[in-house]
Amino acid sequence: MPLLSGAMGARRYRVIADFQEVGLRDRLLDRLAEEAFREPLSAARGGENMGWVTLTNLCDTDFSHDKVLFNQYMAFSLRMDNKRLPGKLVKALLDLRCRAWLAETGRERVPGPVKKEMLEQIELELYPRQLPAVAVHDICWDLSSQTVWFFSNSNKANELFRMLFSKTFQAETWPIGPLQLLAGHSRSAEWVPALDQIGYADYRPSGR
Amino acid sequence: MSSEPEILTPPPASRAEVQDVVEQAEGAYVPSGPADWIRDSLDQHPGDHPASWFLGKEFLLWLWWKSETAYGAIEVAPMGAVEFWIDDRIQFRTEGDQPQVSDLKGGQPTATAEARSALIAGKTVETATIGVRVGEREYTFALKGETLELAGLKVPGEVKDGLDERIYERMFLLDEIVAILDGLFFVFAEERLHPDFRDRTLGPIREWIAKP
Repeated sequence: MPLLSGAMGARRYRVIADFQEVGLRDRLLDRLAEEAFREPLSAARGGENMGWVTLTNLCDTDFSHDKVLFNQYMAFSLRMDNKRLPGKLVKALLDLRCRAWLAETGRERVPGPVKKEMLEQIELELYPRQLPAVAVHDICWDLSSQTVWFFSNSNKANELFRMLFSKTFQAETWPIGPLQLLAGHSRSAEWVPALDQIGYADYRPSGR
Repeated sequence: MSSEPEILTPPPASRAEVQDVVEQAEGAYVPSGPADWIRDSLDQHPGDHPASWFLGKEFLLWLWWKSETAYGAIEVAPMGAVEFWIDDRIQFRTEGDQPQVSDLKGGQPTATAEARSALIAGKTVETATIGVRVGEREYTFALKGETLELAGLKVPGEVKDGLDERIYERMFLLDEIVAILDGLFFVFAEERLHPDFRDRTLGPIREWIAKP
């Protein structure tokens, strides 16, 4: 958890939303709870599953004030589970069952629908025994400056974070990069038009 | 401000890309005013403006140059004098569909002949590990040129206990280093967007690169 310890890797975003101040913090906590991480209904299913959890425990979805709100900061985490079966194991088991089916029926090939059914059966047997890969990424939202930090440099994780953040809070997140910094500066009226006049400069000593 | 776009180099791989950049640099992107530009630019596609792919990379090169020629210290308001240096890793790449990447790690990579050769060949600085010292505090982190995104940031935290205290301290330190970086970027922007950029900055950087 980079927000609390260790090296940090993060991207920052500006939060664009029209929030009413009255009761804002309670509303934000309610919305967090609505998109909290939930275990899938069936353990016999694979794939990705994500939702919000508290900063200190990835199994905790009780978003009380003292766990989430720290003065101007709202801190929580995004939990992303991904349950997959080892491809080689599935292939080997399928191969054994195909062989057994061929021996039993005396046929030369396993029809596609039968093979598909065997695969589904294997998945039904293995998924409940398989634990998901669990990733957790911290988030710190500065409510006073409307800047949110997502503590991951992964493009995919950032995309999923922005998607869920938007869904949860009905607020857009805009990345803050070099151009956004210039646009937000008090001298933007001078700098921004100048940007349109420049290209990548030739720094080579032999350059023009 | 000169109306001529600066020379584009090293060229991207395809002619279409070069043409695209030149056309846009010559004024295809004409905002009706700063407020409109801010609205336009602060969207989910910051890469739409041609400057988005080179400005941050030029900033890394400028940081390197300043760290070696300005005694590695610059006044950044409101923090005061900030020391900085390129630390133990720097990555270069050529533009194009099949870019060549040079990744120099360990020791003082910027002092190597490979690093200087990369600049002479026109490679861009993609990522650099940077050290910053302000007062008693020292930070190191990798900075990605295109997005100015931080990775592997080590902060001089002291608080070990207490959830609230740790969050306040870590966010204070994160805010401080980001404010320093933003401040340095604005100093760079001031020079980069100045009408006399060629004489005041580009020329001295070329001379610095050419020095053996």
